Amino acid sequence: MNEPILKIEKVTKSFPGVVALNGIDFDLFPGEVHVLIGENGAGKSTLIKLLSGVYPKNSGRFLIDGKEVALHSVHEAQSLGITTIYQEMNLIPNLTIAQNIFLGREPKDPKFLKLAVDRKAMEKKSGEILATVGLDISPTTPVSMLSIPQQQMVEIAKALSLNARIVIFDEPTATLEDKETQALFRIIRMLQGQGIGIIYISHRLEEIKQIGNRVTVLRDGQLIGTVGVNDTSIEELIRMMVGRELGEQFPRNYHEVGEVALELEGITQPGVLQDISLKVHRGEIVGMAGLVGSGRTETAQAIFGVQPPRTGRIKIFGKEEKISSPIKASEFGLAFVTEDRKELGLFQKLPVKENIIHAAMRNLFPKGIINLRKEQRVAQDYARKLQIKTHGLNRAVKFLSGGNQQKVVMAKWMATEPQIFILDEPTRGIDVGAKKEIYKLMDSLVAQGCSILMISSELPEILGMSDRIYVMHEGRIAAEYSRQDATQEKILQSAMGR
Amino acid sequence: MALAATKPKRNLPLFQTSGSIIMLLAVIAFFAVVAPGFFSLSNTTNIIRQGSILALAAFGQTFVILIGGTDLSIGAIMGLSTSVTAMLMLKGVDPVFAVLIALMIAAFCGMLNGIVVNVIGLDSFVATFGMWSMALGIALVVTEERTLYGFPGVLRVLHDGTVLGIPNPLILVLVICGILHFFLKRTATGTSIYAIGSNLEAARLSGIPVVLRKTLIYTFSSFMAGLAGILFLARSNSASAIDPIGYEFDSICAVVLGGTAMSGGRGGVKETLIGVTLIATLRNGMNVAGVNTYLQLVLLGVILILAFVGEKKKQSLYKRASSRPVTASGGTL
Amino acid sequence: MTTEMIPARKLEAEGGRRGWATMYRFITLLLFVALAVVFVPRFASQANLLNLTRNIFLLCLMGCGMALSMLIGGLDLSLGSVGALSSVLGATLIAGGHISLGVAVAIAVGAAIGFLNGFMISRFKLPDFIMTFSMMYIARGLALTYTQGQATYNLPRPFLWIGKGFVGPIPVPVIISLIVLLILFLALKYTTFGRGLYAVGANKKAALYSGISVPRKQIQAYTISGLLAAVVGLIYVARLNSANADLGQSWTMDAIAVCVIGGISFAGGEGNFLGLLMGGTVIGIIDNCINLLGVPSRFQDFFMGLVVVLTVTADHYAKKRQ
Repeated sequence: MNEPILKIEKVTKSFPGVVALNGIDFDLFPGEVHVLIGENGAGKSTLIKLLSGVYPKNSGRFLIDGKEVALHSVHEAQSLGITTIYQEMNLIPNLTIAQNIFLGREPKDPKFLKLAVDRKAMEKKSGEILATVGLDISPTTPVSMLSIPQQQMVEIAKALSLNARIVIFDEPTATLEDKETQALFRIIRMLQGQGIGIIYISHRLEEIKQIGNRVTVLRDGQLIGTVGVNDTSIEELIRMMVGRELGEQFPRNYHEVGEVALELEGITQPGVLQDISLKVHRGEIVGMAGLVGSGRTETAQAIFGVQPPRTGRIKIFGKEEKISSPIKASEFGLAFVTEDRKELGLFQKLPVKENIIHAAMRNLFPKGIINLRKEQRVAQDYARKLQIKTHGLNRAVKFLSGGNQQKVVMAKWMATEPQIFILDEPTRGIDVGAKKEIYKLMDSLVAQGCSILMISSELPEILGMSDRIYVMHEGRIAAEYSRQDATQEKILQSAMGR
Repeated sequence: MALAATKPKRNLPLFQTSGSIIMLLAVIAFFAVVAPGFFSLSNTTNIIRQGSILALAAFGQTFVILIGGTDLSIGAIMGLSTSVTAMLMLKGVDPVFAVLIALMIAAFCGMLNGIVVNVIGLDSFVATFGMWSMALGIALVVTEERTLYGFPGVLRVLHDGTVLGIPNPLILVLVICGILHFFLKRTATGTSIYAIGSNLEAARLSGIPVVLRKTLIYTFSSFMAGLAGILFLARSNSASAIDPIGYEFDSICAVVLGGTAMSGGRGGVKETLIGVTLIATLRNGMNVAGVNTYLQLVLLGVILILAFVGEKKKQSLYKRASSRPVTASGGTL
Repeated sequence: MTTEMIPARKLEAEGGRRGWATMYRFITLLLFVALAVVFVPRFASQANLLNLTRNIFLLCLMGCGMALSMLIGGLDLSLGSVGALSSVLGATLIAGGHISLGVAVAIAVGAAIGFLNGFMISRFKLPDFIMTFSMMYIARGLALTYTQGQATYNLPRPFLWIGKGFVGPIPVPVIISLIVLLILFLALKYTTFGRGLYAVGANKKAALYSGISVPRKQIQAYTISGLLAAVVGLIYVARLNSANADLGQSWTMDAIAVCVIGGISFAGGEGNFLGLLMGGTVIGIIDNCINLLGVPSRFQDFFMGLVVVLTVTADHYAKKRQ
């Protein structure tokens, strides 16, 4: 057990404009659980996708049992014994467990001239594997009748039947209850006993102590360190995850805030949000931190009328309003710059100037007839204000760079002259220069009396731009910090529920 | 880290199939009371003979719907195969050869459909609608827009004959149904069809040759349409390019009402057989009761829409019922 | 993930490529005309050109309704059947002398069915083609039930003017079609209604987030489509001086062909009525040539289907390369 099953040497992966992984070293021994942690965007999923053969690497080496492999395709990865178990299960609901396990490799029945599937053999083998993972259910059960943890076990069983030697778990316990987590850990220990190497990604730091042997911390695409689980503490790990220099100066001028512009009381969405209460004042930027899936975007959607909440109240400038649709939200002075600007924020095929005036169309042209000159004027106005670099307002928006596209989205909403902005990851995927410009824009907006609720996964951004910070965790508000009290560690801890 | 977990699709009892059986019994009861002569042996035999044609077409449609597509060209392909067979027989070609050639042509059209949908990537509705036009056009050219008569009646036995008192079409349908059922449920390829319809990515990752299989399915669907056309020819003993038009609609109705979901991955030929029985009985009952042929189209259209609305409602009810409460496990050490 | 600013050279090429696509279509059109003049007997005769023009504009009118439903990313397969149903209903009244009433009823029926299409699609989130496919059979069935296979003849002369008459040298159907085309062209370009339509077609989700009522736009588009189908029906009835329920069997395919050649994409959000005019011209010429060459008229079906599939495929690959 001295040779690592898997060795990753100086692997780098870039996408246009961003380096996702920078010279990562990693190794995995048979029978080891090697945990991989890091913030959102640290590079964990990219590394997994490289190992699974989904993306090709740019440089570096992968070595399995000391031999270099290319991992060009998912098939190749699978044949080398690498299986990944994602959160979204890759099972076929209407087929049975046995059929799922043997999908594409069904044993043939000699009695029917090898035309038919040998069900008995398939079920027998499946039963054996299921017993190994401790799933006491008949292999002829349709997968659709299984609970999530049971489906997980089927996936593990499938991996075993594929003679997996390296099993990667991507946030396996995110949706499990305690008991189910313990059951999963038992299976993982069983896998360990068989000499299988396990890479385990999780945000639940307490679990690491229970199940892990070593821990590797990634941050911003860099390898920060690899330590034995017993040689470190959770505080230390968190420090490793966030410990960056807050070098950037954020262009913010802080001042007195005004009245309460937006207030949420007891917003609940069964299964998603639990009793959300928060306030945003005039002239204030409120940051919303939290892990992916903690409910921040869902809160924004509740406010904006995309998914009106089951219970709870929303007050705009003190008055309770029922926001049943985005149209109504806009009428009440709200604006929502969505996380996915390509899909939800812009009409890629349409020209820049049409995109800019889109949300404000009805205000600008109440009679329904569009005055082309006015359209041009308004669009040019905002393009200038936001310094949108484009080769012409008539060009389709899809030709603009990410930063400029984001500015178009901002312009679009600013044209509706709202009072309250909800920004969901406003600077994601944008180069540094454009980011600065957006920050300056945000600052000037609140200086004029607007309010901003900013959802962000970038801790420096949250700390650098917010007057106050709410941290969400699993659908609840876990903590609230003022600008002075907040630190990266505190925010991350609250985001993890500690 | 998705909170609202991807919930397993709780296996609702195939509501629609049992629902269809109930509907079928209701329809039979209704017409037995309302229309004299409905509940008779000769009429039942008629239903069986008539319905067999639909059954063959619907079997092909079932496969396409199982992988999440739709085949709108069935009626036109039926007309094409009818026309080609008749025309060839009139020219003196041996009936067996004529049938084989027609079937090959039908399969070829299906293959074109398959390629356009799966290799080129056009939507199945659009592509098969285009094929519908083309097949219809060719069929009309072949028949010179007339109805063809006077060819050897050899094929009639397919429709009119009986073996041990059982109408031939029924035997044909049951045998084919049995084979297809076995294929779908008991072979690896059949399993892969369900996989493709449920989760294309998972299927592909399991090494299933997705594009090839999907193309073959479209080929098969048109082949079955061709076969249905031959039976149609046997029944009417005349060939017209436009008579079978409308079967694509009936076939979709039969498949959907039988319990195969349009989203794919669920259902099969057994269910379709029930759907076919339902539609055929409905049509026949309406005929016997004197309902206008044209009005029947209206009713079927309405039924199809209702079936869809019903399925949507079922899906949304189901989604709401399965939302899981936020996991209570806090982060305690 | 940042995408770098697309270098200027590439942008120039992009714009050029789009312009080239329109140029390309126009050149194909000219080619068609040239071939027709040379190879098809009697093509350039005055009588034929008149006929051709009338047909082109009728095709464009058919295409208008289909274009609206395609622009929002849907499809109206019930076009022909709605045209048939509305015109046979109206024809009864017209034959009895109540021309304005008959026309009004026909248009109302068309709009109502269109409304129903749009309503069902938006309210129940039914796939567009399923709803309009069923409606195609329902409307056709109702029309056939109503007429029982009988045609209505001998309509009053003032009504026939709509199909056979002239204003100056221009046939009335052309004028009607031109007016409709103009109105829709202007509406699409210069009104919030038009912009909203493009938005829904381009990106339904983004439209929702931008505060556009997607259901409203769907209902509007399909209602107008149904209305226009009725208008086309009335014109045909006036031309043929007979109303029967078999009308419009090929309209759907023709309309789709016109739209597709005219650059209106199935995906939605793309295309304009200028392109539609070009599409109508091309299809009109093809039809005309097929007739003049003595090819059986039902070959048209084959051609339409082929043309649609080929054009969509070509567009698909052209986009992929971008």
